[in-house]
Amino acid sequence: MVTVTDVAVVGFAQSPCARHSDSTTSGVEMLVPIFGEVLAATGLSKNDIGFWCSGSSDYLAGRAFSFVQAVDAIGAFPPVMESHVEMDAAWALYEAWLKVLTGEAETALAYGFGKSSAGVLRRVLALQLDPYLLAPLWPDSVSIAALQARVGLDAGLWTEKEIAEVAVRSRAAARDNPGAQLAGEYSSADLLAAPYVADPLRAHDCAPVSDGAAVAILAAGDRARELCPRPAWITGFEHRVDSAVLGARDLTAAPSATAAARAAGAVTGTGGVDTAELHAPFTHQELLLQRALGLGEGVRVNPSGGALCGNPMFAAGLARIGLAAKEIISGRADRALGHATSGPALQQNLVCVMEARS
Amino acid sequence: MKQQAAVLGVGQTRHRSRRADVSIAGLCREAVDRALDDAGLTLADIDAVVVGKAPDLFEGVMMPELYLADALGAIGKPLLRVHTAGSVGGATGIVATSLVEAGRHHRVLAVAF
Repeated sequence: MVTVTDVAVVGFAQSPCARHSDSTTSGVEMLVPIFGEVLAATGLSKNDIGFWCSGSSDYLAGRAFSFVQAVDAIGAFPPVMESHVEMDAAWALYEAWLKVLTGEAETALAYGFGKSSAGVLRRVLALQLDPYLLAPLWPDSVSIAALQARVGLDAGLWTEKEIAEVAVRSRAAARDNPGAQLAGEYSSADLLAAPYVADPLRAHDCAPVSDGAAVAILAAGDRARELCPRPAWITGFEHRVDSAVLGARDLTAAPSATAAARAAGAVTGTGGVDTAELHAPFTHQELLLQRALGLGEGVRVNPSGGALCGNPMFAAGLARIGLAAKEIISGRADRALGHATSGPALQQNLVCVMEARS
Repeated sequence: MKQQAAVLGVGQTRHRSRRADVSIAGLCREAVDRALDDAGLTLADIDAVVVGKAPDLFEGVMMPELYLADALGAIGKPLLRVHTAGSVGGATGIVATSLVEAGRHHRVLAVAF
């Protein structure tokens, strides 16, 4: 059996995030190029991959069992070992990590995709809620995030200007990310002049609606060293979930994120992380998560621009982990954290901590 | 060598064309409670939950594991949602087994509906 700290992210690729991709909802058109890219970068062929696992959503595709079509992107003959979670592909990466730990697969590939442009995303996400008591009111995802932002505003945890500055920083950083949908130099004064889309959130406070896909490859031990000169070794990989009852929890905190980070050794591990990619589709959530994950002032947050600059549903969380891994692989970071979230108002959270080794 | 995994208990609901007497959470808890009784465990003994459900379009609830987190005793725990189309029942068992075999979790509740 593989030692728990002996698995690494050895490759990552993402499709450009776009408001309307040329892809169908099957995801194949977005996946084929990035499968090619990540396999070429590692020198692997599809036959070398021991386990494939994806994350996507039927509701986004408007079709039951929609992920099955995405398997066309693999070319699955001879048959492959494959699985799927109806969650962000960060959780598919978790399942792939487990498979590598059991020794059943030496390499694993996790992929995620979402064509949010196919529907009205914020209304589709209302269907995630309690079907008896909450969903019939159709509380859309932006309004729920706005409720959370309002609670924090009233508690003095952030101001409208501070959250606008998150957007300014994110878009400036995203100029170096070729996959970003939004990037550029903005001023918080200009952004704050815009009207609310859901009080107190303005357009810049919300992630764009994005079509996109992401893929990451895991390998263990010597295999990882063969495939990548500076692998991002996973030292902690944990996830937890909070209550679905929005009135039952403090919306200004994310206990599941805190618990996952603690269990993953994000802060208490040797030296803490120097870089973090946080899956925060709303500006106030980036501030909330920094606090919840115990990230200090010196940590570089979202060098990619984060989800605020491109939020392909069901791939964005995997992309955070992959981009954090890339910071290590490229030598720009020694210890990095990738975070993913699922559900309304940060209900479920996952943390992956990675490090470089000499 | 991977950790060995064993089934500690099982539970099913009575299968009928229509169960108008329970909510989705209630239906799951009927099976969960029977499995816990069979295993001599409580929800507090469970350290991870795996939900299998495909397609979630059947009930009109997107990602129902989120709504079910409270009823399944998953608050503060890892929760995974498997969806492998028609094979999901078996895949739920396989994923839950992987959690134990990988040595990351000790007592996993696997629920499919």
